[in-house]
Amino acid sequence: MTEQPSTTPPETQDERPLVLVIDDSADVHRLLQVRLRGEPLELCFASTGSAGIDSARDRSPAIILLDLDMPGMDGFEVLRFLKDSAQTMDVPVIVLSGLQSPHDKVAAFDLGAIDYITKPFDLTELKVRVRSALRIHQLLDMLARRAQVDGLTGLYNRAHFDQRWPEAIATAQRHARPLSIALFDLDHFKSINDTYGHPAGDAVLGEFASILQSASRSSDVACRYGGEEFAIIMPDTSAEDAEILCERVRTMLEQTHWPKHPERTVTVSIGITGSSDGNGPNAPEWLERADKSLYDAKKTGRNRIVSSSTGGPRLAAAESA
Amino acid sequence: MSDMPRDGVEPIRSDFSGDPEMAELIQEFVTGLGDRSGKLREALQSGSLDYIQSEAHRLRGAAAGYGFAAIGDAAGQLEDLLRADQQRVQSQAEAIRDGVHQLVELCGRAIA
Repeated sequence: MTEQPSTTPPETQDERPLVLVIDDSADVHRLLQVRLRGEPLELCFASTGSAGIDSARDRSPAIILLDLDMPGMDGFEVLRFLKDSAQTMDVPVIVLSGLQSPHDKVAAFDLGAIDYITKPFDLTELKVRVRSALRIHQLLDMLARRAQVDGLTGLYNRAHFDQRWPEAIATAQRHARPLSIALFDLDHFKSINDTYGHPAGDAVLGEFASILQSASRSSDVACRYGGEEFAIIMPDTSAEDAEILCERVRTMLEQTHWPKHPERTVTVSIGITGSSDGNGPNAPEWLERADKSLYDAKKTGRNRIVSSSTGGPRLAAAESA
Repeated sequence: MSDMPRDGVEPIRSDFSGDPEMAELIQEFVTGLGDRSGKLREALQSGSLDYIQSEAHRLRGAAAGYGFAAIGDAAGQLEDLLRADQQRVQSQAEAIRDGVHQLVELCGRAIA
């Protein structure tokens, strides 16, 4: 699988979906190439089952058209392989087959195929079935993306954070690389909502999200953690370096002009916990330490950063004048 | 043209012969059929049933796509014969020979 996009979720995929054809017949390759030319998709071909599995892994196609009856590794075996591998199990597979027994169809569906086209295939039928599979794929893709994205701010959501944070720790530990996490909590957010109304509160959340995005680097993962709480996972970043980034965020927010309430500035308290060599506690405990830092920042006056290493806490210099 | 059937044989024209998108593809396919027929005949002589079966399988899957349903059907029947268990294949030698001849004959009649 390709590495996940980080700072912000991808909006849409512009490129045309890739359709992988696994079929031993070059005649069928040529035929599909010509017959699907007008469709908004890109085709690639494999002539054997094992080459097909390699292509499926390397190129992450949107759908696979799979011939069942191939010499060597047959389509059933390929299907089993694809569905057993985490990388390829979610790719929809349409089976193409000259075999027409109900038993073969049942076996293919049982193995995870989403559709079955008998050869010789009718061109129109093939086109609409491919279109339909692509439509379902795109919807599932969008749902999967949306399930990871916060609707209001467009940042990754808590579910995504929960998935990425332990992964980030595992990677940092494996390679003995620095890693930091910063937690952000908007100061007196409730009173902004209460005083200026929820649309004003939403505007603050949205603006803060764009500040986080603009401050984040491509390797950072910025998330909306909860109501007015945000988090950035910063791989390859020590607590000291994380402070620099967070100070930029703190200043940008403090200097933001608010059309709905020009008289009222908005500030944020920030807790950081970082490690310079990937060493640290497990994911929940590491997070708890950052939360403790955040609590300290709130307790000591807000609009400030408290940073700790996985070794122990220290007060960062950054603080509003 | 080299892929034209012999005189006195009724040609089989591709169902898609009027389709400009397919013209070049069909021409290529038809040209290839001559070679494929030759190999099928050789395989029959040398008893390479595996080759006949896999070639019949390929033609079954593709021929109709190029507008030659009759070739696909004949190839399909031949493949089914060869798929049967070994003992049955022995007793079907005659039918297999006929099947190959019929398929070769149909291939020889195909024109773009």
